[in-house]
Amino acid sequence: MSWVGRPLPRPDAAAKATGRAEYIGDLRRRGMLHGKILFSEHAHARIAHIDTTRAQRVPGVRAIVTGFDTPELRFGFLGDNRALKRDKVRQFRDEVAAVAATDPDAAAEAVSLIDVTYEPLPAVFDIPSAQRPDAPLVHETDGRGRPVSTNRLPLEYHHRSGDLDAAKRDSRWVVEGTFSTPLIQQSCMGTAGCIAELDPSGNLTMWAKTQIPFLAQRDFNRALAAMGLKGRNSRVIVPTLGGAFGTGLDTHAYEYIAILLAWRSGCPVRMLYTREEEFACLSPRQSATTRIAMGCDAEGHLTFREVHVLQDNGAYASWGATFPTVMLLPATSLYRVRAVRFDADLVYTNNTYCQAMRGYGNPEVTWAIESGLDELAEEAGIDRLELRRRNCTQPGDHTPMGLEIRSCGLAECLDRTARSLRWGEARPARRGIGLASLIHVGGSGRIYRSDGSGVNLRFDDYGNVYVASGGVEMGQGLHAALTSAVADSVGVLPDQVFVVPTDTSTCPWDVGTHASRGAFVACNAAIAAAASLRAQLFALLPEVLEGELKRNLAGAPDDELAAVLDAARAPDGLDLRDGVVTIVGCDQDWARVALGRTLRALHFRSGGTMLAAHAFYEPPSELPDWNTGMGNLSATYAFGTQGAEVEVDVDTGEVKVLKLVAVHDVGRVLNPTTLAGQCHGALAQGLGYTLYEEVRTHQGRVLNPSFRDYKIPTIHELGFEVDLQFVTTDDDRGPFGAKGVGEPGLVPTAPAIANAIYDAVGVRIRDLPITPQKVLDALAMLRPTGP
Amino acid sequence: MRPYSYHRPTTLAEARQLHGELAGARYVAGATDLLVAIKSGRTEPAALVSLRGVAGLDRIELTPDGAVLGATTRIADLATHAALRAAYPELAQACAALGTEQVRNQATLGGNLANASPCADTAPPLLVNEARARIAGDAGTRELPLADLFEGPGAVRLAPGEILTAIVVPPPVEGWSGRQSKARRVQVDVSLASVAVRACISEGRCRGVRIAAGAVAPVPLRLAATEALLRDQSLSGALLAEVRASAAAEVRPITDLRATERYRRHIVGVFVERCLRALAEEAGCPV
Amino acid sequence: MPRLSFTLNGASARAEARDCDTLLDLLREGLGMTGTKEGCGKGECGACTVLVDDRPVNACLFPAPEVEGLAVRTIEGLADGGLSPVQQAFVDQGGIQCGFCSPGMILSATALLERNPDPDDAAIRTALAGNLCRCTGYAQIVASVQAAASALQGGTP
Repeated sequence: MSWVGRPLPRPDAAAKATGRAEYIGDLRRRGMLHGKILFSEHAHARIAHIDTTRAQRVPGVRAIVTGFDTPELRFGFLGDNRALKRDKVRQFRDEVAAVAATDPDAAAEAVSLIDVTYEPLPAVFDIPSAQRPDAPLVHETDGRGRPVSTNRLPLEYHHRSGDLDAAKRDSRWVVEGTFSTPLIQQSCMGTAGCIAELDPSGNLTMWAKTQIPFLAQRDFNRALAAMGLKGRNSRVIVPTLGGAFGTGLDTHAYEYIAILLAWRSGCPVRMLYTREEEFACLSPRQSATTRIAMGCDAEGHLTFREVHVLQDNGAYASWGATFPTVMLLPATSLYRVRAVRFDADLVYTNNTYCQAMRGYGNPEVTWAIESGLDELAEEAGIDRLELRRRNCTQPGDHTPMGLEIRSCGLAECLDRTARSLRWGEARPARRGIGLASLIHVGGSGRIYRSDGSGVNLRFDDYGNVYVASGGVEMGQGLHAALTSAVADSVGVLPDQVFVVPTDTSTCPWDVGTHASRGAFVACNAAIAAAASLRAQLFALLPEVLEGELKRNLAGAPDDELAAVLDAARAPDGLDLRDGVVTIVGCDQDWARVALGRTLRALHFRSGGTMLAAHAFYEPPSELPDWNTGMGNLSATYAFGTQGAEVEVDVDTGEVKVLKLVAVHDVGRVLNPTTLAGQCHGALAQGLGYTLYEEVRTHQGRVLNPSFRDYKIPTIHELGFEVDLQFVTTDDDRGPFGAKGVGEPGLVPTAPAIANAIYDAVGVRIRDLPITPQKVLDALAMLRPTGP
Repeated sequence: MRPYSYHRPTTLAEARQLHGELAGARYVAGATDLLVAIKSGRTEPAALVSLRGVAGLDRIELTPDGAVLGATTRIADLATHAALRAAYPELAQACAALGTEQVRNQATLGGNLANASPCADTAPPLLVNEARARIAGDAGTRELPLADLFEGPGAVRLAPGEILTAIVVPPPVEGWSGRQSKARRVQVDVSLASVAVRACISEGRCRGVRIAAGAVAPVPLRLAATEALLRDQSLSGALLAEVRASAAAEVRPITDLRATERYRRHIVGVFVERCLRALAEEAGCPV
Repeated sequence: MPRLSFTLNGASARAEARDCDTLLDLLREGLGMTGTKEGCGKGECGACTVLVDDRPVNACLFPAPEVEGLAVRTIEGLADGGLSPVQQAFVDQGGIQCGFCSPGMILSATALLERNPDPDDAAIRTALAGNLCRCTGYAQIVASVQAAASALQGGTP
């Protein structure tokens, strides 16, 4: 029986359905205090003085910390951020002070009584102002204290491949345009938070809403060292997460502040953001402005692509500042293109700083490429689908940035999407169709020195397998995938597989659950660990098998037993399936032994043994060269095409989606239920990105920090037909042939819809979200007498 | 959030007495707006006097003389009341489009109106029915046209301690029917603009019409100039284009996070035209 | 603090609450019943949905003192030990991912199916529009409600 590919319920589903799953806000520690942060009231200002005397008098207050009375805890990808600000604040949400109190109301009241004197500084809120030679500097020094002279981030993203000049000369048709995407919020239903607890020796236990428990352990250990607790250790426990979508890719100031408050008060401290704090004080996805030029020859072969991306990074750098490494994927490798020039500039401003979100730079650039391709097709007089088919990426391709394409189902994704949209058929006025494709990492994405993932497997006395993985379950279904993979590769029933909670003290290292890598790397590690576990079992089994079979036999002839034992000792003579040990070629009932019995026999004997195995999977990939962007950063790549059919109301400007098609090359289906869940969920986020979502700011302040005015799709907005299909390409590096699928589902949704809008009413919207007002304005440009 | 005391009177007299005695008291019914305002720090009442338990305030009475809709009637009950829907379809539609199932189960008609939000969903359909507000105060019960209740954003013309107890809606008149439309970003949304139209259309002529709009002025308002354009006129494409422009010109919207002034004007015009077209079609004379 | 008497998951309950507490505070802090989640505290996400006299409401906007004499049902009370048919359908159909919206979503679905055992697609979407979910795209949630309806009517989901 194979469990991979079957719609097994996720192992945590029942606990979640009954309200028993414990999220950060549900956990209680004895003596736990509630933390609250005072955020800056200025976008850019010197902190002249902080007076906490009134706050200290609030009953229940146990600790107050500021940047002036605590050790400096630096963090962030470039080391440019500090837990509590001391010299100056650089954004509205900067952390200025914090309180721990016995109840949340007291903490909030105390925070409101902290008096801060600021000396406001000139600030920059957009890229052009930040780039002016005389612009005020957001950071006067870099992470190492060296003076800087501009607001440009010290990160270079420049890629050149092919002969650009020649490719341009060969271009019969050329289009160019500027496409923009807004700040959007990940909008996890469970808000950010943590609990920090220090033991009397100064070792930290941190319950964290994180996707990177092991990198967080490193970060927190550095913080302990800076606090004078050098050599003390951090244990990071990941409770049930109310979604993550990239928000857990960095450590956050609130986590360090919880540590400081726990240290200062001697009590465990919980920090839990309100929804308003989640919107205003947690980092959203970066906005991006992408200028693109591209061409094709007379036959419609793509000649070149020039891409320049500008990103407002906000006041500090998170891992999100490495988005351009992933932007290079679509820029160089979405369809075949001869020559590519790619540049990205990231600029510090006094806006809220940004971080990762699902798709990691890919949707921003795919938005520009796939919108532009429709324009190029029209310019060249070639059918939009045909242009894409003619340039389709194929297995075996070696792309301009050095990606080695192994399995690739893009051609089939295009064809199936077109079929589902009834491509070429006439449709009523104001209805249109469009499509767009994607390439994404499908076999992890190397952005760190190790891209590995460890799995430990351990048998108990009853035939159960305990799986300890460094990967994080955040709702995407990693534990469901691991359960099926372990059941199949060890040979037990899914009910005998228990994935243990993620905890750095019990689970092996993993770089982090990002880049759609969770199932790919963890299942590959599990397969290797399972092979080792089975090998150990089969090597030892002959020592106890005779005794177990005799218990089964009850008087069967000795010669038959001897033959069976001989068969068991033959190479590959043993098998384990669904929790039962069998002997190859022997189908007698008595020649089958339950796994638990054999394990107890191995355990409870002289020189007894317990069986466990470890594997660490390091994907065969390259860390991209930071200067050229070149490198095969993933073990394999995911592809897909999405299509949209829309109807545009030209009176109201509203876009009604009638149907979305999503055809994804997933390698192989590990679990159809969780896979469909990932794709539907990503599609809904893609829909929100396209039509509704935008964090609005004015001079650095977030104006819509609530679901009342930050609109994510409700169940109504998804009330149209979704045709979700999977193309199976059985990737030779994927676990059971599977590729990563977590992010791809939202990458091409926006251009598919925008292309359909153009098809319907002839207007091209180049900046997301596509609001009714933008559609009306564009229609008015078409018809000068219109609304 | 400043702590407040909470009181649950069972009679109007008791409620008014508590309100008079407690400094900084506010009436509360469904609490779906007020608790949000309190949690956001926009208001800090010292005491809340709940009208939920006051007997007789939550009734829907349909009589030949019209409808009496108790102030603490829940929006969900108005949205699903079959006879009410038949008599005043635009009101039922507006109630069904207000908030979420959870909010409709808690929010009340009186609360929606007495909060005096310019975007109160129930106001335009009640304005086009020339509904009256019934108010209990020192001098007993008084009534005033609903349109006169609204003073400005968040402000109503109620004397201290007065309680909005019911909305009285005149009975539907044979030949008249109603429609409403609400502009929103996603299904669950604060109204960006809303329109209600009640009209009597026969043989292609508009015999009578009342038009109201919400979220496009400091208070929900009737569009008198636009109504005047229509009265006793034959409905034609040309007239509807004029009506559309008139409605857009007559409202006084602002630009905020949710929509621009331009969009609000435009959409009000579109909605007025669409409601009229739907009513004309219903009357058997599509334009 | 006032002592409140009400029915909680079918049993009579007494609890103390401050006047300014919400039903959500009463459940989570007062009674330690953390199955009801707080997603926004402003009635916009539906994570705190509970049933009061069989109707879904946002517990975060429901004044605790108003619970006196009413019947409250929470996620903890839907089944004795096992899973209710609605919970089972959400488990089987993939209606749950991160799970934070699930208790509220399941209660909204339960209330819907109690008053409308055979809801069409539009009725399902109207009933659940007040429960935001960021993970699923809702497709498998609709499928879960349909499967639950069919299971409750004795059919095979």
